[in-house]
Amino acid sequence: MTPSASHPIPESIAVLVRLLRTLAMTEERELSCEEVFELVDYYAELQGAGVNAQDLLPAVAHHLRLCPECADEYRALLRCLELETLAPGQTSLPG
Amino acid sequence: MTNERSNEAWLADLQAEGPRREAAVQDLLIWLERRLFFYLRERSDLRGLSEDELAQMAADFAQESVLIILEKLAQFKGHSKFTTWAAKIAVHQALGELRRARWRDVSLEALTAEGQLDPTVLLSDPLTPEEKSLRREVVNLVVDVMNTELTKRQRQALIARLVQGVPIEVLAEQMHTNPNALYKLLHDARKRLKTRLLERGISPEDVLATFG
Repeated sequence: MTPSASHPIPESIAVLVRLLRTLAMTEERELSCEEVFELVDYYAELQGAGVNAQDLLPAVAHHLRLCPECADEYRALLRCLELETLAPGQTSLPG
Repeated sequence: MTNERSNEAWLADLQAEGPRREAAVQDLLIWLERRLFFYLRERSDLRGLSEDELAQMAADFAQESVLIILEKLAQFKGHSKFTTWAAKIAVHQALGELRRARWRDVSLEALTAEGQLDPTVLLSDPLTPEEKSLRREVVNLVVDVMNTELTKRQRQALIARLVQGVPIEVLAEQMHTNPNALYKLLHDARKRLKTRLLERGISPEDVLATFG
């Protein structure tokens, strides 16, 4: 059930490093996934516009570093928005 | 055509009656479906699926997302483009379903061995005697603090998240809570663990530095 073992670091060391990294990043006040979800569309547009979203909304950036699911969704959102720039022929579906 | 609508036009069209609403719903559906399809096609874990299967998956996710978006229209505050807000909801819906499918039938008790952390999970060979000694000291402290300072629930949640990588909504379901409450429980656990380690002279940053 653990992620694939293709990483060069042995899994047990990786777990300890992950735990220590998470603890090192732990702050007294953090945004929850729900609070980040409220802001992430605005955050993505700032980033897409070339504005440094991390400086403007550091608490969102911090959560995205800590939470793999929110980070995954943020990357997916950015990717979906990038498709705005594709030519119409590149965004046609099969069938 | 989709991007020519202003936020106000999207809201007005989706809240209208008859063909005007139907056209807006259809535009939104197509807009989301295309983007989800191209995103899903890039995911390494879905490479085994055919283009048609991915297109069907994207269509299903888009359909479910549009229903949610229509229910949440009143919550749109206009901080971003309407389509960005809608894409956020669709991505959350799609990725949440993929995560739940991946972790279906996983038992929390089986994952966390009744909530006790076994030190061997954090130790591995090969290590030099010096590395082994330092790492064992850190590991023993971490495990001791986790097993004595955290509640069973905090420990279970932290192990499932950090050791097993269980997604937060899957874990919340298993623990009969919601993701927001679970995030708070995990945050409290991390703060307590960090404080107790610092009290015993262990700084996570300093220890990390020894791992190179």
